[in-house]
Amino acid sequence: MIQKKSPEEARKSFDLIFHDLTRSLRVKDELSRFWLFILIMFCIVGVWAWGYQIKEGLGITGMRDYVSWGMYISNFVFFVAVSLIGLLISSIMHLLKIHWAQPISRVAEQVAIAAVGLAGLIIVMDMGRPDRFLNVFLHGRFASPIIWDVTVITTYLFISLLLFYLPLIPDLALMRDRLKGKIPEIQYKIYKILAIGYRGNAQQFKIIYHSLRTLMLLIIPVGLAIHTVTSWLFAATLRPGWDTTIFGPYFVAGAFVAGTAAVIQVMYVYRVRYKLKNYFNDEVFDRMGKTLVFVCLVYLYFNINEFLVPGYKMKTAEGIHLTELFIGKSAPIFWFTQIGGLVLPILLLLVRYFRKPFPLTVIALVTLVASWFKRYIIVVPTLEHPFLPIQNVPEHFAHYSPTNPEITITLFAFFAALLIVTALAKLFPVITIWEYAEHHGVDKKIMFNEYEN
Amino acid sequence: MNKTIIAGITIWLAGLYPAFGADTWPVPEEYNAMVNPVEFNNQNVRAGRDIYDKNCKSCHGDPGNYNALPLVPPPPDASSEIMQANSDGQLFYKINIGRAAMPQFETTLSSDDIWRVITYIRKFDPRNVGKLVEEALRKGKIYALVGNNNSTIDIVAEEEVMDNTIPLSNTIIFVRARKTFGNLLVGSITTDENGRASYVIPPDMKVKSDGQVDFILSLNDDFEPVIFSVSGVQVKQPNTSVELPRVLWSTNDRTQVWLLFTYFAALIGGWAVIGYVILQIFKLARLGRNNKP
Repeated sequence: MIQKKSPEEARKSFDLIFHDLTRSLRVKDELSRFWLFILIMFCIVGVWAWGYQIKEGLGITGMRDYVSWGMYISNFVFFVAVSLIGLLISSIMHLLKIHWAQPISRVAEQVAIAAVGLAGLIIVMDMGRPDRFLNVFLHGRFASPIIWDVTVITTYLFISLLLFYLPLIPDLALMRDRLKGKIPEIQYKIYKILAIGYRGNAQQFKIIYHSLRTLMLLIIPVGLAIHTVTSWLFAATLRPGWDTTIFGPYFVAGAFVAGTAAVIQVMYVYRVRYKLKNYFNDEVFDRMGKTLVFVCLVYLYFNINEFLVPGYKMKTAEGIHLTELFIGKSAPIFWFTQIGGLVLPILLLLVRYFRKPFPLTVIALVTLVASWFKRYIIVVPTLEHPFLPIQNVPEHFAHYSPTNPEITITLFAFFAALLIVTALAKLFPVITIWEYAEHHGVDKKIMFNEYEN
Repeated sequence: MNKTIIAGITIWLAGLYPAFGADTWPVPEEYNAMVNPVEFNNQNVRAGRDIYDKNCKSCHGDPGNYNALPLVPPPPDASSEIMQANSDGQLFYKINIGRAAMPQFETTLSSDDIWRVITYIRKFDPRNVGKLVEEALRKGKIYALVGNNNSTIDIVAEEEVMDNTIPLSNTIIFVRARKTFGNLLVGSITTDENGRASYVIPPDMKVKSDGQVDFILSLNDDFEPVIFSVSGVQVKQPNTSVELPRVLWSTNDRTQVWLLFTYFAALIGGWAVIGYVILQIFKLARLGRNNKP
């Protein structure tokens, strides 16, 4: 597939690729300033709401004795789910040598880092005493499945950062070599330090490849674990809707749906904002659309199994739970998540037209929103039906409706995640330059000017 | 809890009640003339009482006390006119077949036992007052010693008959073990002609950590209540080890080994690989320093 180009041609084409892919570092217009302003303002409001919550206690949220997990935990599960896309695209697709996915692996890593970082933060925000956060590490209980969550999320964040940084090193070296004087001095210094004296010789590339492959293999069990152990928080309890052995793979399948939908959003923004039409091209969107159909089908299978098995048995508590979901109070959200998050993308994306960038992005956005509500529908309705009789408590104890500070803090997570993605896009190229150039016939020796030495 | 259940059952049965129409319970013709084959004597009344206490008392209450459960239709007291108006055969039919909340005893009690219960019920028939002469309770005594290296309890039973003490032969002695709540019947043994018996303590008996059991010996209801306690029998060696088992949901010291192994193997394995990759990054940096262009 890769056509060798003559050195002159290759140098020209590499200059163009480098210029295009570093555009995101140079774009500094009103729109990007406004976007940053919005993000930072929302983050500040969110942090203020958190401060208010710390001062007043978790009583300001809608969570009470029975529904003790609300929006925060739904949000946490959602972010953990989205982060799993790093595993699918930058590891599994890479190892399987799926070349069209190569330009989006860094986008996937950006999303993964932002999501898993925020997932950890959301848990701290759900704590009544965040000042005791370190106790989670210092006094973890090995008999509890929650210790896995703490450990695995930390590990996954670390691996994601490494998986982001390692392929970035040659890019940093390229920017160090080519951008002196064209960017602010401080930015240049950051690149220089992070490039750790990379020269682009064969020995160094060998180490990069070797380390990358090691990490890609490591992230598979860790990535599967991160969402499996999140499902244990539910599956290890004896409650209708949660007490099932299939929750691990069910969550992982759902995670790929949410993550794929999230990556499509970011891809589309980059394509438009940074004029990367030729990089995030129609083919990549088409393939991502097909990927979304595939992961939706897998998730649909798990959903059918998850609801039909208890649906046939209709054990007392399980029956109440399912009735509530199918035709009860939660029915509108439930059917929105099932139709908007599964049926709609599967049916529409089978048509080629809907896999074009813009329609695909709109459909994926609906899927992404449905994915969030799917987590809400997993967490809250089960808690509203405890096995214990609800008696002698105020009416609002038995039902859950989020309060304004709670919604503000939940929104904070979204804006903070977008802020992280934006910052990463502003600081580093959104596509791995050297890898992309190599796939388009540019020799590594040309990139690093080794012929001249 | 019990009250809730009772109330629930009551309400439920209230709904069924009209289905039976008036409070009549038709009995097939052939039952009416049946005669109780069990003789009306103290022994049979006592046997009937034991069966009644186990199977009937929970709803019908203590005869004569009118403390039956408030069910609908109400279970009549054994001494009530409603109950006594039944012929023996009618009672036999009703106990056998049952209706609504009255269970069917055909499957759980033998016919003989049902007739004994009817004999017991008849004790409260006003026409039978005075017919049954209560025998005076006998006076028994039990003595016991732990024998044969804590593996048996050797029992001697006597009876006082007109200021004389004679051995109590061929009599059942009940052996119970004291539990935290109440006593558990662990065996019964019959005395020989000399009034002696030897109860073998089962070697697999469940004991507390000190290995001791208190045994309580008693006679049957023909005798005035009498017990004899043999306390602190060292049935097993005391369990001196303080090591607690590793169980689920326990403290870190007592977490199951496989949980610890899984967790630490994954933790160490994963971070070892991460550490290796970080070492590679340092190697990259070193190569960069050495190969300056």
